[in-house]
Amino acid sequence: MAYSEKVIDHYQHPRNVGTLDPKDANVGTGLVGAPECGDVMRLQLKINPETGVIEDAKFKTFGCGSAIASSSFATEMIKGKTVDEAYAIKNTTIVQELNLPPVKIHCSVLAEDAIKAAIEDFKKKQATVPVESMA
Amino acid sequence: MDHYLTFGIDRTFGIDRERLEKRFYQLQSSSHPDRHVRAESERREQALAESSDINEAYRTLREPIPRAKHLLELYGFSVADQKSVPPGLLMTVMEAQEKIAEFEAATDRETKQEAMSELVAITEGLETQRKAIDEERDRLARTWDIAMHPTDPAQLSDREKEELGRIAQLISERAYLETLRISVTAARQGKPAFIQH
Repeated sequence: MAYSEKVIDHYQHPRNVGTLDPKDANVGTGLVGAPECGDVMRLQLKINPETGVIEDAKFKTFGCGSAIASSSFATEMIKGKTVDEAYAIKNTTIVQELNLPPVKIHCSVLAEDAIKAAIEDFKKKQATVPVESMA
Repeated sequence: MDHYLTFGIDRTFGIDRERLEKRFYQLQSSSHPDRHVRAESERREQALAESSDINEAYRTLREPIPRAKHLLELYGFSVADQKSVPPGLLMTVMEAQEKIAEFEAATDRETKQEAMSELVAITEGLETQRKAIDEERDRLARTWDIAMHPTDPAQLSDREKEELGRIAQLISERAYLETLRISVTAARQGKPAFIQH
């Protein structure tokens, strides 16, 4: 399998690997898996509840090079974006940017799913935050 | 392409591997490009295409998982579409992977041994889970194989769709455990897990 230079770069030097406090009300966590290859990806976003801007993004992905590169690239791309902008991101953007071959398109789908799952988790948390702590 | 048709065998999950192998050599010897070196170029190209179809069909049908995936695809079921994962499975896999990372990062022997023994406990649990998954899949596949089914996906009954959907889901659950198993094995051998699908 020939990977593009960008994939190799993200695979060898992944950006934003790590963990954010999952209990923080402003952190949304998305944990998703690729049903066919068994890769798992966890994406966490720290979102400013006032402005809706994504202030930080961390990921941990266990899987093939393309899955790691897709999530690394996704975290780079969504930092500074608003929740709505990030939610609208399509996997095709990742495919184009990383030049993923057809057999690896599902890795980009995984990253898109992870972004959406993290945002949904954040929204669910915000909806249940007690009023007095919302300041 | 229906690989079962290429081999002229019934569309079932279980197959007679010995028969498959014999049939493979038969088919291959009649279409092998070497047998057509003196033929016209059109016939030679046709033989080449046939030969590559036969190879692909054999590779797919030889092993149970690729074979099952192929059968499912013929009925319009894709393992890649199985987005629902049983609660807890992804979490457990993630925890185990983090334990591997902990094991690899540990510099002193004690921490390393501790991480490894926790990892062994986790993987033993997952191994039990994997056996249960395989047993259920085997059972469903055998039940499927002894009954008659339409070849046209549009004619599948709700019951048949449910059975195939469940098999697709079990294959996906197995994939998570398999990827983890590769990582654990690599960690134990002190090698980085290089996952290629």
